[in-house]
Amino acid sequence: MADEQATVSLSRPWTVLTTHWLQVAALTVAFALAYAVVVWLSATYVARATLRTPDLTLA
Amino acid sequence: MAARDLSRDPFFSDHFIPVYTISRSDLRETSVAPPSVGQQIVAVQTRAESSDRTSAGRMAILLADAFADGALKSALVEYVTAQRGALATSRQRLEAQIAGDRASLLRVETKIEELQKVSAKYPQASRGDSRQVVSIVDGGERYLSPVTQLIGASSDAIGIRDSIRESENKIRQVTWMSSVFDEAGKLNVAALPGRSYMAQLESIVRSDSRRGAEDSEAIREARSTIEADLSVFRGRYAIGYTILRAPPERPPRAGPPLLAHAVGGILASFVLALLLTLALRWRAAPRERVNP
Repeated sequence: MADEQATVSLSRPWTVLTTHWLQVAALTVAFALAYAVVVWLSATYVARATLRTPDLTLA
Repeated sequence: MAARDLSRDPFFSDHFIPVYTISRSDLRETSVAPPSVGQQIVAVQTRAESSDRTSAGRMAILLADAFADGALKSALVEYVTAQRGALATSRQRLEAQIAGDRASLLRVETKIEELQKVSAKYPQASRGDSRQVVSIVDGGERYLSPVTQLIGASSDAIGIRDSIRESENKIRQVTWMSSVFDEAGKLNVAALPGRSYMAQLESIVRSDSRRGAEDSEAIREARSTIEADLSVFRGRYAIGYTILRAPPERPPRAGPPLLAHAVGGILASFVLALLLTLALRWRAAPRERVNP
């Protein structure tokens, strides 16, 4: 019964970051570029104009 | 009765949406802070959003223009409706007044005829001392000489005839004005912008002059009255509504600034990249352990 159980030790995030920094950097650049494209494509501009209203008095 | 039944209809609100004027209580229901008593709305700011800078600017101007045009149209529709109602009532009132004046005139004319008979019957009464003082209170005028009474009655008749002529003149004006406003009421207002509606109204008022109606002084006066009213609307809305501040040539971007986007995007990308790398490594770890 005890033989069937296996303890899996996961490497620490810092270790992963230091050992696979190139992969992390590449993914970061890829995600950042994708985000930049989305931001650029969905950019909207807001324009405001002020109109003088001579007779809109409040009751 | 029908209106009362309609208001009980549970689906009433699905089909009818009340439109209110801007008031303090209306603003209380919105996120707009109600101004203190005595203040008034002096300007309206329009806001347009577009993926193109030029379009955004043009849309903001267009919205402001549409607002002013809508205000003009609303005022004109209200004016035409109010005038149609007022003129219909006015015509009836004038007709009643003419009927009353004609009845009075008939009485005065009968009185004149009878006074003429009295004057002919007692010619010496006319030679009486005209300098005597007689009170005309409580029918005291009957002690005046028949000729004096005749002059008074004839003067009354002149006054009544003048009043009838004035009322008939007014009826001619009212009839002409009613025809103008009825024609204006037949226009498809929903399909017309405010300025076009104004132009159509002016055209209706002017078109009658081409039919030769300017011959009548009364109609000339009525036309001047309507034209004066329309010029007030033109002054108030076409000139009064002015753009105080036009949108800038290069409208700013909507949402957070670019620096915030850059910082947020890089941080989020880094965290996402780290999580993905960790997930991939941790997923591969057991297999590496099992199959070293």
